[in-house]
Amino acid sequence: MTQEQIDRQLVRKAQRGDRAAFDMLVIKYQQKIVKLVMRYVRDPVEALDVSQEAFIKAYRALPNFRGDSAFYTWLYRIAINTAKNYLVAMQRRPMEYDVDLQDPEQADIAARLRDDDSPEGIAQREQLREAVEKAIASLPEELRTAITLREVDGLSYEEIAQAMDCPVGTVRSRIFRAREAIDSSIRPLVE
Amino acid sequence: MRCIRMTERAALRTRSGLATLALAAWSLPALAGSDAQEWLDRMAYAVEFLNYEGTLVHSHGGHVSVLRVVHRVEDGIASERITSLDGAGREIIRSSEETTCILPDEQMVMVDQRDASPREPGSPLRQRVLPYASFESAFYRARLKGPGRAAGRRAQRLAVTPADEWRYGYRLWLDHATAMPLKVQVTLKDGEVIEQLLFTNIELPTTISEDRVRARNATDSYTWRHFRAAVPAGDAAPGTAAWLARELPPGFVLKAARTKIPVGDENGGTMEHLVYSDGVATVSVFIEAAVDGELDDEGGYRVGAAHAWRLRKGDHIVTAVGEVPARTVELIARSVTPVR
Amino acid sequence: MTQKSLEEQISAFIDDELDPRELPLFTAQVSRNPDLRRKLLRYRLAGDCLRGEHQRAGSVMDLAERVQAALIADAPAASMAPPRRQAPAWRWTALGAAAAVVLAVAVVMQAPVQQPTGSETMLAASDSRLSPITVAVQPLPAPVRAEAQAAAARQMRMTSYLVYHGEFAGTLSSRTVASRIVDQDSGARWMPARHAVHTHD
Repeated sequence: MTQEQIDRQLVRKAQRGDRAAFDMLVIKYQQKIVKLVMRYVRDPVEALDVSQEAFIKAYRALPNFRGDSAFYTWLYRIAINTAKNYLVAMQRRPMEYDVDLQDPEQADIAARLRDDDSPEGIAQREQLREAVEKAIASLPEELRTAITLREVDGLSYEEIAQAMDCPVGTVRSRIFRAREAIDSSIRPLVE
Repeated sequence: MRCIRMTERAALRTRSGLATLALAAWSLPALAGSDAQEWLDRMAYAVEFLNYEGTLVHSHGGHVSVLRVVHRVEDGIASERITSLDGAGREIIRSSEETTCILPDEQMVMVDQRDASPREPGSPLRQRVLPYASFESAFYRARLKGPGRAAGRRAQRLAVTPADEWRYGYRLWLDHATAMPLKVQVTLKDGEVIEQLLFTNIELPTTISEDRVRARNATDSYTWRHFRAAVPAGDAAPGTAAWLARELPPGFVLKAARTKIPVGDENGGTMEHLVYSDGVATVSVFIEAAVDGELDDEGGYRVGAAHAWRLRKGDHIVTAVGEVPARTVELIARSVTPVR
Repeated sequence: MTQKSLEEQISAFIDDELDPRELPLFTAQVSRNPDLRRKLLRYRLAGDCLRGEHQRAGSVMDLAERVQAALIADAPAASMAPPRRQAPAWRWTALGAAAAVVLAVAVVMQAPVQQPTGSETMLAASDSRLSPITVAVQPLPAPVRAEAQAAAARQMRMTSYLVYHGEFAGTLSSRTVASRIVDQDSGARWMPARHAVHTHD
């Protein structure tokens, strides 16, 4: 409910030309959109370009977005069309997989199957993973539980509050404190 | 220390008698609690015969795990899938024929086949020997508490208090509309919460499609281990059991005895399985032939509110397991002896 | 508004838990503050790492910036070429990360590091689903390995006992029994526990 409210607010502002509001929408959905585009466009660099293009198209089409569907559903269709058009322009057909791309779980697996990684990339990723794991391990119990329930298990604040038997405000604060602790570990690696 | 142990031992010998006397007086008010028993009967029905799907958070001793539960009922027959949302994604699939346990981390599937003999109607979850737990007994007192909320739904709260320290108590939040347990806390006799199970969200649709209860893991390359019961489960036949517990905590009686055989390995070790219950809590006792090198793990084990006690009896190893205090599994395990 | 409360709002925003009333001020402040924007992206990256689906830092991280730059520059819509292309090949890395985590967890499962001493502190130490990974990469001395194998065998046996026991567990415990079966991380790790009734001398 909150998510739709927030998206609607951001969209309304962006429709009035507020780039900051649109920026928030991009930040919010960029990962999902890149993953989605990766189902069609194998090359990661190209996928990133196509994703960027999809967001720009969305921005330009925003005045026509009437809010009949959720913003992400609308953006999703734009991204798929952009990717398909790109493949046509490049005269390539979408890749075929044994898995059903309509199923988000399977599509994710398909994306993983296409991995082609450089040693440098692996090393950096490994470093990041280690830093996050160390940071998580040294968190106080209640912070570790809160952030894990949120990030790994995908529970809402309300659900976590029930599970941990504490107010929602406490959950919000615990998750924030956990993120701050992890952030201080990964910041030197990515900045 | 020795002095304390002697006292404990002496207390143990007289406990049964004293407990019976004490309980007779203690349990009188429980008879008035039929409203509570009605809620608990509805709860047992809901768990078994309603369609539901939800996220269950299980916490104990600072550890939290999250499960996805899908429970489907079609023509009165239930099946369900429970998947761990943490770790490797272990799964349990229950159908009316068997319980399948998929352990991707071990690349293994364990199948516990139900008895071929008279097919029991209804749910795989229906407890064989305890179709409906009897809370109105000398050993538990169930009382309605006020209204509450859980999983974003209106709930009726209940408290089930144990009469002694041989069993746990429970605090329940039952869905106001359906009596589905939305939140269950396991407590010690003094009320301390040691384990909690909570639906953070739950849906109760009228139907659930069959594919929702199918395994999510691809198990073709896994090692499969099948077991079946040689003696129909649910046959509480003390006369046929090769082993029995000679001393039991008050209220516990033998409910079932069966032999489990690994399928395809008929010469392999069989396993005796005895089931004791006080009407609410259940203790399983497993007796297997000892394998060399297995002498080092005698003693008590625990995880959350569950305890196990494991010890060697001659050429056999006896293990008692249950959602009961440590003393209960220990007493039962220690007293298990061959019938002849 | 303090920096801290703004950062807490970033955290809530990521989780779709921001109060809509907080949104206008939040958007304005975060969008024009590069430090806060980067913090938001790092928070998300940390979440991706936790789920084992993180990409290489600096890849998706800057997509929003690129989109902003393109909008400001009013780049022609027809062009598929981005305003600036990253020189090193950007790589999708989810598989590697997922494999690493799976492998690490498998190592832990095959060789639980040591027989717990039965103290509550051991229980607490094994609670984190992630911390054992760093421990598991240490080579184990032979006696510890043997002990670990015995512990692993015991866990498997306990798991099978639970499966059989589960058929008979009452309404109130059937779910916790199931939970102990499917939770291989620490739920299924049985801890030695002693009790006063115990009469070993």
